[in-house]
Amino acid sequence: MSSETQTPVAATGPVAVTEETPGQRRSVALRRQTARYIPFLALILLIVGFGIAESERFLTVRNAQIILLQSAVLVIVGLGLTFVIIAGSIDLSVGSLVAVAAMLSAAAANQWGLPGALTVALLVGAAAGLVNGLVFTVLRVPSFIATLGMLSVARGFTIIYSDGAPIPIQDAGQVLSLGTWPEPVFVAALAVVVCQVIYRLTPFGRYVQGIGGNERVALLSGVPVDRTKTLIFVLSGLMAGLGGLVTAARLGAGTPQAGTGFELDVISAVVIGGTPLTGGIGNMYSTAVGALVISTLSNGLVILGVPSEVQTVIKGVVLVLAVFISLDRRKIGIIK
Amino acid sequence: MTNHEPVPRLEIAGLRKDFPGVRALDWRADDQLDIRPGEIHALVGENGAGKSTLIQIVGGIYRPDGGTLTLDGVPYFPRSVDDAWDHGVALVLQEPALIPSLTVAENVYLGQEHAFTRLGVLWPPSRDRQARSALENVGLTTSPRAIVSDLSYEERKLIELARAVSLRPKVLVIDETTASLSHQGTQLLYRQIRRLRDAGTAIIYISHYLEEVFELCDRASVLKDGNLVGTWDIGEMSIERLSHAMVGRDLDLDAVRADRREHQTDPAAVRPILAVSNLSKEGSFTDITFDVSPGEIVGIGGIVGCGSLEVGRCLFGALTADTGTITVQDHTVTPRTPRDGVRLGIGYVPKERDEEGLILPFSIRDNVALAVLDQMRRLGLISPGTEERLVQDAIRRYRVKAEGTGTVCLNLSGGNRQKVVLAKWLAMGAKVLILNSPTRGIDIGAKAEVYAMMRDLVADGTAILMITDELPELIAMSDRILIMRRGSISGRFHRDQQPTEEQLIQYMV
Repeated sequence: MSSETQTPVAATGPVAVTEETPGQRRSVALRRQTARYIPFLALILLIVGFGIAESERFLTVRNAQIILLQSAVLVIVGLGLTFVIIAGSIDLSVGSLVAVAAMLSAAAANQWGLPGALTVALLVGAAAGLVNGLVFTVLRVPSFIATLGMLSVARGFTIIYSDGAPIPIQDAGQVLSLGTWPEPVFVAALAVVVCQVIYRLTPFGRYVQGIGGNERVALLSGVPVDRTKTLIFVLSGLMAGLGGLVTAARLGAGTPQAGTGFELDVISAVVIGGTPLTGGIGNMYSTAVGALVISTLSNGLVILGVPSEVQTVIKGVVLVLAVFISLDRRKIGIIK
Repeated sequence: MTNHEPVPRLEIAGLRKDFPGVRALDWRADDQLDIRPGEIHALVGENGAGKSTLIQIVGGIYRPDGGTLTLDGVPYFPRSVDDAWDHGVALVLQEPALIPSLTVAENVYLGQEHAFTRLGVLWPPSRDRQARSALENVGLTTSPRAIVSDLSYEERKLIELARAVSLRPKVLVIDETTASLSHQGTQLLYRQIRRLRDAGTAIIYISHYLEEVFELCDRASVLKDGNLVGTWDIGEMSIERLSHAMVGRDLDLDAVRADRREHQTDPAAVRPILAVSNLSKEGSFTDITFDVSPGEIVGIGGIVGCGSLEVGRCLFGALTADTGTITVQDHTVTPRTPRDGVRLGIGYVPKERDEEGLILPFSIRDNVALAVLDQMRRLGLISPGTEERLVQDAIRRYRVKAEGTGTVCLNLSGGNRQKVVLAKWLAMGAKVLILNSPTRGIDIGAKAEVYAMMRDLVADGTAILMITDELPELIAMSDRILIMRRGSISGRFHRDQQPTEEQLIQYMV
């Protein structure tokens, strides 16, 4: 007969749920509440810090616009990835999908203008995301591997399609204006609002959160787990597609190198914003803040004249620190 | 065959152990349990009596809050499993304790590799050779290099025994091992245990099967509700007297029982809403047939491993049976996933409340809403107003004690957590509710409230299937009782027959 308990002790005795006192539990909850504001405080700190160090060049309207423009694609793609991470999975292919979408939408723009470019970008992203999702839920390949594979496949496809050369956008203003101030920022802001509504106010969003919180409980509560898991990758791909279009618009061309290594920046943005990789917690606003933190940090370091190699080191340190602060070690007994 | 040495191997006195919300062991100061060398000493008692806690303290897994342990006359306070091991105390627990991806030899000597190193490097051949003789010691011819995941349950259990025996333990504890063994495997195990006893080991043997206790053991100690009732020579006891010592108690649920009889509707007059016919699943249960009607509580009782848990899971869709039919409201549908179960109006309250019943870091609101999200939609979006109303309604009806719907469930007591799980299914409007150990690990006050909730639910016409191993609640709350043993239904009772705990136990063991 099958053994029914999962924990290694407590076969026939009472269950030791947690050995914490109510006082300890309250302080954990309090820490969790304040941890939510840390990314925002970090952003303020950065602005103040750089402002003091280099006020003439940093604290200008033009510079603020630059930071916001540079955050736009990071935010857009980050939103899709946030859904994936909240559900407890990961999507490593977003950088490559941005490139594919940038390329194909650039080509489409030349034929069919903005509507065509937008449609192609979204379709391509969603289709690739669907493949990711199905490999994950039907073939049961872990999302890390499934999306890692897509990363290579999509990147390879980009190079094959373009023969290694960029595809310039030749329109007389429609698509290209999408890449100049203030359009990218508007698109990003709108995306944040729409995604937050989806997250908090649709059953799908709750399913995502439930699966990340405890997939077993979600399953036993009637949540359509496999369907939801597939859809989060479609959404992630969709947002990567949108990000690709904006990238192409900003650069004026779809380049095959676009988005190389971008997935690491996007994951950093989500994590620095306060969404733990373990899932179950998070929201769209925090990803936006995380993206702003990264962009502000980069921007400030450039203005300070810090060499780019050193910048990379600093970004790595910031990422580790952010996870260290936000990780709830009590919730995850074993850290791998 | 028993050895009447004056100095007991292990003395356990005045033991106390508390967990949050539950007092697991509460012995009097002069309560003492002695285990002698060269005896097989049975430890019996119902679930919750404290047997597991006791042996986990002996084995170094938990530290007691009070009391003393003495090993061969010397005070014994193991700080960890390692420490207990070093003192010669080994446990063979109920759950699988081998690492499936490693070989037999690696498992047998896990943690003891330093005995086989030369200049700091592990030398596998000498370990494998040693393992072979350890396996022979327990009658196994399995190759020490076999991978554990390839082996049968029986072989694994014997390997665990080999591991414990390789220590040459002074005290060996064996917990609930034969429930899943074949007759042959069981006899093999008994043979090995007797050999160890004859060689002078002190053996503590936990079993729910009293016939086994009488066949194998020399003396038996009974635990009940965290107390030590007494120790007897098996030769001077009978199964009935031992059963009585295990369960005889003043039923404080008499009031609940009387109340149920008053409000009981006549199930014969109402058509069953859930009917199960010849349901079988290899390795879990066979030929299960019964039905449940609206307004009725059917209780399924049995000891761990009897198959009742799996039956409950199949009815909900969390597990699929091999053959047989399930009919819900005249539709013969087999739920294949929990989502199907939910669509059919079935709710499921799992035994592992904190792992499978609710998401602890989430709020009450998010947990209760989880099963009903579809119902709260307006134009594709969840209306926060509807959601709040539904949740408030549910927690008010269930008197969940919390400051508000935003309270995180981690901060709730066990009893309140259980109420949140129930509220989830109430909000979803379950017509059939499958409850697995509904009052496990919760205090008396909350238990009473859960029973009250169940009464309200059936008064409203819900059908309840209650799977439990707590006899008092089985007797008090059920309109009809089914007892399962080793996968089949061994007895059926109706409330009017007024079955007693002693009677039910006969069918369980």
